[in-house]
Amino acid sequence: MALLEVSHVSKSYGNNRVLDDVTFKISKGKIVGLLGPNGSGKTTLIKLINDLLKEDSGSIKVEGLDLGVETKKLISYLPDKNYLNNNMTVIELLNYFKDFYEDFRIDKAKELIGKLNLDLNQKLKTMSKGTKEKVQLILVMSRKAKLYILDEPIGGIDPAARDYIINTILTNFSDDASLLISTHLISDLEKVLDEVIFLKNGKVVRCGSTDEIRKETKLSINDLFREEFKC
Amino acid sequence: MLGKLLKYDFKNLYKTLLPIYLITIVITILTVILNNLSDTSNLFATLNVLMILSYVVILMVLVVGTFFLSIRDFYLDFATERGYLTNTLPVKKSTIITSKFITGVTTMITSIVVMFISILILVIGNGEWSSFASGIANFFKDIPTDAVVMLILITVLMIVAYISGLAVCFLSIALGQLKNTNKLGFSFLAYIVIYIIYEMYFTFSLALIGVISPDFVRSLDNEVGAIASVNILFAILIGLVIIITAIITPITNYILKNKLNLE
Repeated sequence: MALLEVSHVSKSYGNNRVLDDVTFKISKGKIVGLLGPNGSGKTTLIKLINDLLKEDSGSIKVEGLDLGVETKKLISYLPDKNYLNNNMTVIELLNYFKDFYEDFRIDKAKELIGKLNLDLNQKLKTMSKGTKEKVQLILVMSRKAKLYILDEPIGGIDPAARDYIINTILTNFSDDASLLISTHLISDLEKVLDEVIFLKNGKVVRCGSTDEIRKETKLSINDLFREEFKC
Repeated sequence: MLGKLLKYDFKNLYKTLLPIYLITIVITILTVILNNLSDTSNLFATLNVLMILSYVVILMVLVVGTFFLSIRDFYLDFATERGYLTNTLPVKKSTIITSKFITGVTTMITSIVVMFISILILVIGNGEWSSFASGIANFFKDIPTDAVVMLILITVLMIVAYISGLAVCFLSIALGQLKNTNKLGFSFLAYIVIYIIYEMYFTFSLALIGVISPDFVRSLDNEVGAIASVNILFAILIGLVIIITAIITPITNYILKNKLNLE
């Protein structure tokens, strides 16, 4: 059984069709890149999987379950913006996650926070944008989830921080879990991706194993992306 | 999970409310002090007037602010980026909504308690405790049973009406968030429409009672047994408020469960 199964999903905002008959599956233990230019529907698709939006048609299942309380226990989600309460301190946020997610490893989170030399009693609102993003990532990656969904985790971040984030992602998720990561900065991630999904104007235009795609097209994923989405 | 949600919702609201409670008590004490000094100089008399004005303002902030904070908290959790966290928690929508109702009512009760404490400080500080206490004692001395029932019914009506007020605002926000742009504006618009329907519901229901039982309406004008009739009217109002709230709240739950739009 697929870990995530997106089947014929469409979504419109008014007359604007953002996703059009999107279908794909993600198996266990895979790192999957959701690739596409800005406005291709990546964030909308991710929000649908996280039950923050409702599809107009089609279905989404996680481990064969319809979206709901049980699927939220399986997914650890990092949105593309600051979504935490700025008035909370780091330790309050850690306790919040520990209270609501059975799979949250607070010791792991404290260890990662310690490496950043952050004070556990510091409020989020006193932190820089970059530090807030790192704290959010630590919270999300400290869960022992089945499926991690990260929306543009390295977008708009300097190269040094990008290395930290990629390293944190790759060293903190277990082998049997899967990772769906949306980005348009492919060169930083290409070497770790098992599979890719190319999204263009709300449609899946390419989907499959990175090795097979490279073999078939004789292009790197980065070059193929540039080719596919050139203006 | 309700207990955990309540813990964080209460923490969140009281972070703002506790400083307001503290300011209320400080302004009350200053009002008492200046009131006692106002006869000694013109400066104190002027300051006393200003302090009384501040006191009235802080009492209004206390009540209106508590209501506003509960509504704002709901809006932030269902129509803004904060909703990304709230709505990906492994918790049923109905549990989140229940937590908002419980925290909304509890914070209003604590704000009213603080208001009463403040009034008591004012009364005691101005040396009017004995006349105040005897006034209260006289009021409750030989009070008819019907009047006691009326006081209880008024209290219950105030609580259910407040819950219903929250329910109307929550439904307005649930409807407003369906829009992709200007969610707050559409929430206000939805509130106006729901409020009109709400008023029509009460007018129609009470008119229907008048048609079904004209004797009951006439009994409200009779001096003999009027309190008993008014009590029945209060009980009917409580029933009507409960019915409309029981209709509104599942609609809010349905929208937020099936039509959440954190676009």
